Amino acid sequence: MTRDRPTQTISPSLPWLLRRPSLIDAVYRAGRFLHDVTGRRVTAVHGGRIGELGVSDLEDELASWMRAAQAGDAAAYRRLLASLADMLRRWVRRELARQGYEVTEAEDIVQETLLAIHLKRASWDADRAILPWLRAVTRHKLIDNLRRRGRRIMVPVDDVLETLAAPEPERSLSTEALDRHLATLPPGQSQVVRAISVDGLSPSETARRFDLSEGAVRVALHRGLAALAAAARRSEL
Amino acid sequence: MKTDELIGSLVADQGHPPESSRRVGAFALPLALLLAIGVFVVLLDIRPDFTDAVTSWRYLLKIALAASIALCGIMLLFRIARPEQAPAQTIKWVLIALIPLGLGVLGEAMLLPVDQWKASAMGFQFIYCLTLVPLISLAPLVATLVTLRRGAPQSPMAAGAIAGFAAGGIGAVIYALHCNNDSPFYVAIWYLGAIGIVTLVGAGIGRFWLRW
Repeated sequence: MTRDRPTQTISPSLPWLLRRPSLIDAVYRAGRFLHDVTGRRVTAVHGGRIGELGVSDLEDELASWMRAAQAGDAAAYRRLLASLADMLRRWVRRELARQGYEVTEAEDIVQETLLAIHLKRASWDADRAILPWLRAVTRHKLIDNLRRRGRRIMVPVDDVLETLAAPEPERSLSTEALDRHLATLPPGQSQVVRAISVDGLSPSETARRFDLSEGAVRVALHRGLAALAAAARRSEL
Repeated sequence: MKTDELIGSLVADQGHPPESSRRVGAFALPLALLLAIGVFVVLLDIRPDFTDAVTSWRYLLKIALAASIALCGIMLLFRIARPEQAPAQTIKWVLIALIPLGLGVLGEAMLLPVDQWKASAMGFQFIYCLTLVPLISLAPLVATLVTLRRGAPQSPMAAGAIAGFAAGGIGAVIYALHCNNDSPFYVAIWYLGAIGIVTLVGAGIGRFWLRW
């Protein structure tokens, strides 16, 4: 295993307020040094098996899309989520098959993971590598799902998102799970989420359809998506 | 719902990115500190011999221990909020916060005759310590939990425990301004006990409330 970015994966996670006092910093650096010399890494360093596209290219591409998205570039965000959906689909399918589950359930997990990536995107620190973050979120949602299916499992950390095998044909699969959860939401939220996702309306078109302000539509969408993730989390599979 | 349709709604929601746990914490933690100091001012006052006490190593050590727990706890809070961080790796750092106490207990064991150990460990009305530290920690606990809810911790329960640990440390620093039981033995048992109570409460809340 190579150590591509030791400074990024082990850099201190102090809040900026606390980064100033040199004493605390010195203590932290000493601890980090100990970690380094004893070879104990804080997080797995990415490396290992990669396809034609190098891991660092993938890393740079995804990170730049996410940065652009956070600066308000909707096209970059769509591109990011679409390529993540493909990668997640391949990985989740392979992982489910390996654990002896129906591969047909993979799309539910892909959708839940995309929701989690979206809702938790502020927990990615733009100064750090994005692949370890994506891998951690994906792993969390997969474990969460399989646990709900009644089995404890271990998921290898390094494999996630790094298998860039031949792409599979299906680009957009449909599932029923999210529709089921959508039905449990307050009607105001579920009609807005449905209009924007299934009917593909823009927030302003949705506002006109339901005679709401555009701000109200955005709030309902945001709350609806968070409630959708919570409903999925609570659901018995 | 098709995955592409879901993506469409996520892109439409991109407009206002959520606050990160750092920004929420930078707002909530100072506010909680003020509230905790407010609770202290209403219920207690600074010990009368404060100016003498700050010259004794036992008292300074007590403050230092509580402060190191609070600072370490707050640093770990932002660390465990990130999904890449394995909780076991974070919890190891808790031990570092306890180093001053270990040294203090060793020193006290060497300085103090054995027949006084029990008296200094039991101190004077430790029940106040066990109830008031958690009480003062209440507002900080809310703040640390709210901060973590914006993050994505791998283990909600471990994250809640760190939230409680940090909040208990803050409560202990403030309570130490009042408390006049300074023996490291007392601190090791009752302060850690009180911080432990807050840690358990945090873990219990975090287990459900910090899931994502």
